[in-house]
Amino acid sequence: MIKKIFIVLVILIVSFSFYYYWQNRYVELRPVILKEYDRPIIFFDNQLYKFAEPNEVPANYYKNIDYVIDRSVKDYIKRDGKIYVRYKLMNDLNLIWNYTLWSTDPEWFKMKREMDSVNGRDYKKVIYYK
Amino acid sequence: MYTSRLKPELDLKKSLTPSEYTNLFGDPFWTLPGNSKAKSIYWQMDDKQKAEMLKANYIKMIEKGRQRNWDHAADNLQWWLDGSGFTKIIDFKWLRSQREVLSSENLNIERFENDEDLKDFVKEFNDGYTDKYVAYFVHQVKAGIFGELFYMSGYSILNSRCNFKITRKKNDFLLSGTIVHSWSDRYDWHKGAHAYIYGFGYVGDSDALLVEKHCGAKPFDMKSTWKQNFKATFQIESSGSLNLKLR
Repeated sequence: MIKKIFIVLVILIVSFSFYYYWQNRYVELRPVILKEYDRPIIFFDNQLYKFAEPNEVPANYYKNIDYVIDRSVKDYIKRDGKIYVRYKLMNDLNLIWNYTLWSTDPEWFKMKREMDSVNGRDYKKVIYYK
Repeated sequence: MYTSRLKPELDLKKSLTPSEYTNLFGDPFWTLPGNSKAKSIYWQMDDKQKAEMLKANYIKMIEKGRQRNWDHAADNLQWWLDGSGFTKIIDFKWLRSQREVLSSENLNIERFENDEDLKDFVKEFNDGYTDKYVAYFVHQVKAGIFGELFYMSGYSILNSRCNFKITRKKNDFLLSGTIVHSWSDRYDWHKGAHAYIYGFGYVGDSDALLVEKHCGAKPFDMKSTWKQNFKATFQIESSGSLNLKLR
């Protein structure tokens, strides 16, 4: 009986560890766009979005995404010019779509520039929309 | 020998009774199949005849929608058939009664509550300092196929824009301001897309495009805006996150 409990416990710990690792590993950030309208039956929110193909990447995305991510994401890594975020974040395609939209929206940059100064000092690096 | 090009057209239409002619789709709301004779005649028609028959069936669909109290879906189909192309303002109270719209609204509000940018921003505040926090989040509203929203709009966009004034009072942060929700969609049809209607199968959007081409129907934009006021007090927790609750 104790052996069975032990085996179940080990399986649970291994499964949880694997799940934790999987959710928290770093993956490359990619631009997300809306899927073309084909009116399928949708079960999950993520089915509404897709990763942009190279020819579908919005103009100025690569120039501006650094600033968007710096303002919006706590845990990220920048390596060899690429941005890596946690898988659990990347799996939220609606949020990544928002980052993609912001990176190409001068209005968003204008809004954020107004928040760059707190207590009379700049706490964020002011970057203008490129 | 009779050579008029109109002759076969007249024959095709006349081979159906008025009730058969307007029963191409059946009644999708009550899962009644369409008339098989009407379907078979429909496939023999040319594009213009198909468009006219489809228009008559859309008018019938409007009638059936109203019988079911799906007035918003019926109004939109009528607006499209009328072909003005004018933007239609949708009643926000009705939109907010649709669970999909409310769910998107809640998700966007939740995004503000958990925004990393807001956390970093307020952490810099000295006691007594006041500043403005502005941001927006967008969500695509996904209409379920069994609800009126699906027939009225399909997929739409909800853009929620906040404008909050935040003041630090010792360890408390006092928030006041608004979130303006802007809902929008375009009532149009997409070549290659289709919708499933029981009894008729998949109805291609290309059919509706025929009605646009031959009967003057026209796509249009739909919009709606509503504003919510907020007042809340929150603190920075020991973990560094904010215990901000806007709902």
